[in-house]
Amino acid sequence: MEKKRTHNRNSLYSAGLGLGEEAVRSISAQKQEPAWLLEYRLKALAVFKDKPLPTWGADLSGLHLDDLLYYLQPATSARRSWEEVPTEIKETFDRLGIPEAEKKYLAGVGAQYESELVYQSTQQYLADQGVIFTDSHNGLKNHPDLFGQYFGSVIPPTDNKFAALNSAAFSGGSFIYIPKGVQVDLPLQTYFRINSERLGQFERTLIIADEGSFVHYVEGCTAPTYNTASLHSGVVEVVVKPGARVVYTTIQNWSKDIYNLTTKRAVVYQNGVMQWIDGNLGSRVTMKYPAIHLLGEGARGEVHSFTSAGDGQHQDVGSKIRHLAPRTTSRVISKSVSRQGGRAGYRGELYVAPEAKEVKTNVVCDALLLDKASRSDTYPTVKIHNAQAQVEHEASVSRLNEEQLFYLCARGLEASEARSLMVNGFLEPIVKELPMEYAVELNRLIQMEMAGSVG
Amino acid sequence: MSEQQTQIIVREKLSEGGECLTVGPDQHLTYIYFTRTDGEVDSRLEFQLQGSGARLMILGINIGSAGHSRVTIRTVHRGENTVSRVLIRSVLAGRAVSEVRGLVKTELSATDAEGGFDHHSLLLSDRVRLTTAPTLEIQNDQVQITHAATVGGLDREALIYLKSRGLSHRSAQELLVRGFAGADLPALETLAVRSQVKKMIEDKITSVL
Repeated sequence: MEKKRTHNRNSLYSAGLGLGEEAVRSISAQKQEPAWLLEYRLKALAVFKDKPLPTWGADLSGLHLDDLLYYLQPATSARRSWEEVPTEIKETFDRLGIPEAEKKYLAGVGAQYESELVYQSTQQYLADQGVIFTDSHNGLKNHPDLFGQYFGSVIPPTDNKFAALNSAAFSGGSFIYIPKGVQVDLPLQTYFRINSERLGQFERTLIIADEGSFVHYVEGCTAPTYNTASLHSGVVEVVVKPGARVVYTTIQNWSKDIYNLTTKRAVVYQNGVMQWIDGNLGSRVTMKYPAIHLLGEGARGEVHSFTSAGDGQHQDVGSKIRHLAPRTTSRVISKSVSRQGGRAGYRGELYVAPEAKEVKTNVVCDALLLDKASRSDTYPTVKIHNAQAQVEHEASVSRLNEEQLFYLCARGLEASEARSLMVNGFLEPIVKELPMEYAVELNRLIQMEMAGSVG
Repeated sequence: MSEQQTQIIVREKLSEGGECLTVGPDQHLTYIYFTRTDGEVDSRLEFQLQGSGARLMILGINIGSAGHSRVTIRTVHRGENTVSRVLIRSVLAGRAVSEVRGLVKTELSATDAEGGFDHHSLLLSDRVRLTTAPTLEIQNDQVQITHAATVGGLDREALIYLKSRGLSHRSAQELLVRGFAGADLPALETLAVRSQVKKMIEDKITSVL
């Protein structure tokens, strides 16, 4: 079911003006949203205009918020021809062995990922279990009570400037509900949301895992994602009810002129588990700190992230974990690689509240710095307000081990092959948690990037 | 070729304000400080390591049951072959509030830099507030920089063991706290300094427990 676009696209663009009330009203009207949501969007717009840009993190001076209307093109309307896609993107697809149909989808050329059969049977399988997996627009339309109950409950528009922007202008993204006790054993991927926009600038995802349920959600891909928009400001809210478990895997490889400023947060109730698996490969600037609020006793949170920063890139990523209940645990593993002038940083916050007795937490940040042109930063803040917490945090920055490099070359490998093998080995503990096809693509991608770097 | 010079500085009560020290080529500096725990004290320490053979060791002792202590330590590596080691121990009881912020920075010229920043904290009451933020900014790939931070309470099993050996609760506690607070003392090479600092630590602990 294709959404019909009846509005005049040109009415959304008044050149030189920032995001205005008219544009927001237009989005809401086109989606035929209820009054409460329009009001929500308008209030968020006011918050967005009011808040200043953050003074910490990456340099956002290249971001032209006054031209924001430019960013409002829905992704599917960018009807590019295959010829217009940059050569290096096409070459990367070839070398990664991406199938034809997928190439067009990834390049934003095809309107849909043509795999109807797979799509239909997946939807049937999920529907049989009572699982809701659709986009945010249909989520609101078909499940208004559920949507209204949780939407904005984890990340309010006042949270930060870009959450406010998303709350005003959001479109697309997933809406997922897993009923009590249901364990969804196939990873839900954004590929299968055929009847909606993908790669949107302001995607809004909401996942509710009811008691005792399990789901693994995967978004993104290792192949470079080509899009004309320069700003992506997504919001992801996850609610993990007692005893449930959610794994959310993201691999981001936006093209290298994009600003990726995303807010992701999960709230976890008693004995629930939340795992963010976060891969950051692309974009010019990424500021993203997957967060977990451990609200119920025995809840657990994990953030596993891998990051690669190359020429012209600044990846300022990390995690924010708040222990607000007793006997909660958390674990963070962050692996980053900086090369060819790239800058990768870990920025983390860990807070243990006074009422959070007997908390255990462990954070490990390892950074590889491959050359003198690149930079690696680590900015953790640990705030402990309870005496029975057991907290461990460690970080290290180093280069590739010369002896190992020498050994591999002595065994006949080219220097670049040896380096890519070692970088893959460095990232392996996290990469092995990815669904296999991603892991394979990722390894190849790293090989390619390493081969391109100065030996 | 300059001779190796060793300097040892002991600050019994870190005061409000800041201090900036440079460690030149082949100079070794050992800097030992104790924080004050009355009132609100904000101290900023900056150490610049310039040039081959510069070595810095910082031992920080933060023991208190009251007051709000804020210490920021910046260590900047410039030039080749510099080594820094920061070892900080906090023992917080009562209503003590402590913030320890560190920055280890290696500039582009700091080839073969080695740096470590370790902050270990022992919390003895539920009303203490601790913030630790060890940060790194690294711009040269030929370096080995690490940091570590741990926070915990008294080891209950160790307490029980000592008491089963006949020590009173208070003596057992004092023994464990002293062991914790003095765990970095072996890093001090000069024995005279080591015993002086050990005595200062023990006095502080007695006044806090």
